[in-house]
Amino acid sequence: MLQVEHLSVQFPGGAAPAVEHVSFSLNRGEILGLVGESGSGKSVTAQCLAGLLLPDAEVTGTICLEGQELIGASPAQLRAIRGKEVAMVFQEPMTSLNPVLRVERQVEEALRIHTHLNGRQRRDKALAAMAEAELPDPAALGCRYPHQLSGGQLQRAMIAAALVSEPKYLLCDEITTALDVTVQAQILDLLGKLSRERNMGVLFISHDLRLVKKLCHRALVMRGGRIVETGAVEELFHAPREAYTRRLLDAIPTRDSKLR
Amino acid sequence: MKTLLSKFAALIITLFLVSALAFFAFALIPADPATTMLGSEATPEAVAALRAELGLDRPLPVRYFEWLTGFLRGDLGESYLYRMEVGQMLSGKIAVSALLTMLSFLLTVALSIPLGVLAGSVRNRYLDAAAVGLNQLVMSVPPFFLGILACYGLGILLKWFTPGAYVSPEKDFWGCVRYLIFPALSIAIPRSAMAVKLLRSAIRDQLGQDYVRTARSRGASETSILLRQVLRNALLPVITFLAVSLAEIMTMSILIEQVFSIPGVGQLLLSSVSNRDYPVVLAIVMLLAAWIVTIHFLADLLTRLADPRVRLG
Repeated sequence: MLQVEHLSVQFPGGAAPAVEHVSFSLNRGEILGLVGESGSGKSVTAQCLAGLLLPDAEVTGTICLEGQELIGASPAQLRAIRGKEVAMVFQEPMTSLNPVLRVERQVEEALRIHTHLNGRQRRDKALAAMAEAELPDPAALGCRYPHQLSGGQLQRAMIAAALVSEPKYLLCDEITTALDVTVQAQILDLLGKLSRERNMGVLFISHDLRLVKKLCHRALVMRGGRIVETGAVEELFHAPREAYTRRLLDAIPTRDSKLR
Repeated sequence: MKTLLSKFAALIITLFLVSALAFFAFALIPADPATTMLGSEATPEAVAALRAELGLDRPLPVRYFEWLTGFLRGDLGESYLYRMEVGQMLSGKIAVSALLTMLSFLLTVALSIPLGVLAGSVRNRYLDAAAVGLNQLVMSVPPFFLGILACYGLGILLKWFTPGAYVSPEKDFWGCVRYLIFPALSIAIPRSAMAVKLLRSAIRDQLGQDYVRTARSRGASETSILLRQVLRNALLPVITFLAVSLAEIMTMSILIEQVFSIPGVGQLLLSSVSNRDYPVVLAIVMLLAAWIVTIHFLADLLTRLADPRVRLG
């Protein structure tokens, strides 16, 4: 279980804390949605979970990963966890891959860091992960450079790169935002399948409530660095207790909503 | 492939333009080779006879055409002053200048890449500011001045070498290299400072890119991110700069050869200009132009090979 309690993050020079007293837990096999407008502290929370914040940010509270405390852990301890226990996929697939390295080489990166497998074994695992991420013809795509792939293909490659080391938790930070709607739907299906099959806990960060409703079991609503509401997705969407959640829901355009 | 061909065509056209410009520019210079050679007391008849002998009495376009066809066949003409084949005069000197150029280039590469990586990875603000300041200072010292300092400081005060005691590479190759190290350093140090500046800012720029965040999220250490991910990207502009440097180093060595009394192409060029020995000057100008144009062409090719995004273009 990934347990977060009273997590607060203060950036130097920041007026208010970016994240304040955030508590939640994420079980393996569960998909947890994290919604909120931009600047609400969603990404900062995710980066804390991956131990990715700048060293000058002041982080307090506890983040407990399968019994291991992440806050105050040494950089070497955090590196051993990142990419191995907790993997992350980011918003911009076009820039999240290194432009001068072949795709397959980047998918196997976590294996280079965390295992002693030889090149052949790494390659086999990378190609298997790419197939699992539903990339067509992994062997051919793997030999290409990032600029030769489409956004959807790149995001699948990023997911494959996250999967390759069989992480227990996957943090997805707005991973569908840069993609078109059909690819979005495919990526959501893929995440659902991977979470079930691998018993992987997924934190799905999005500002798009429709996606969260479709994919997640539970959801957190964040605003101004705090969690304002939390609950099972059905409850949250059908009977929101908080005015803010209701406003967010009202902002979703529906088939019936009129153009004003 | 198509762009490559058109670039190659541009290279040839550039060389033709250079040859024409150089040839006609020398014809416009008022001093006449025959008068220079015979002195101001010579009779007009003697000057006219010499002009006829050198072929200077014929119209300019004819002379250019003859010179050009000869040049293309590999006949660089004959020196007015020494009555010697220009090709023969140049061959030994080119070897010396080429050796100096290669040494300077190797030193530039060997200095700039490690120092640039170091400068790019410094985290301490004050250390970084000091490094940038020092770099800026070194960058702005002209090579000939550094050469004079080296002659005085390392040569006369520290006696690491004797300024002026040049040994030819045929006689003692390693002795020659040992002497050339000092002029090569005078060229390489300011050049490396420029490359360090470029590499430092490229590394800084790359470290802020998204793919670095991705590498961190995979658990890569900062050193491995720097050397295995960032450096390949940051080197792209530096490769182009270093390759182009190879062309500029050659022209810089003309001055440096004077400071260290090295009998290379530079010395021959300067003496030939003051003697109005145009066939020699023209051959050297063409040589330098060909070198510069070729290096730029190769640098372009190298950049294409190094960056997959422009490779196919």
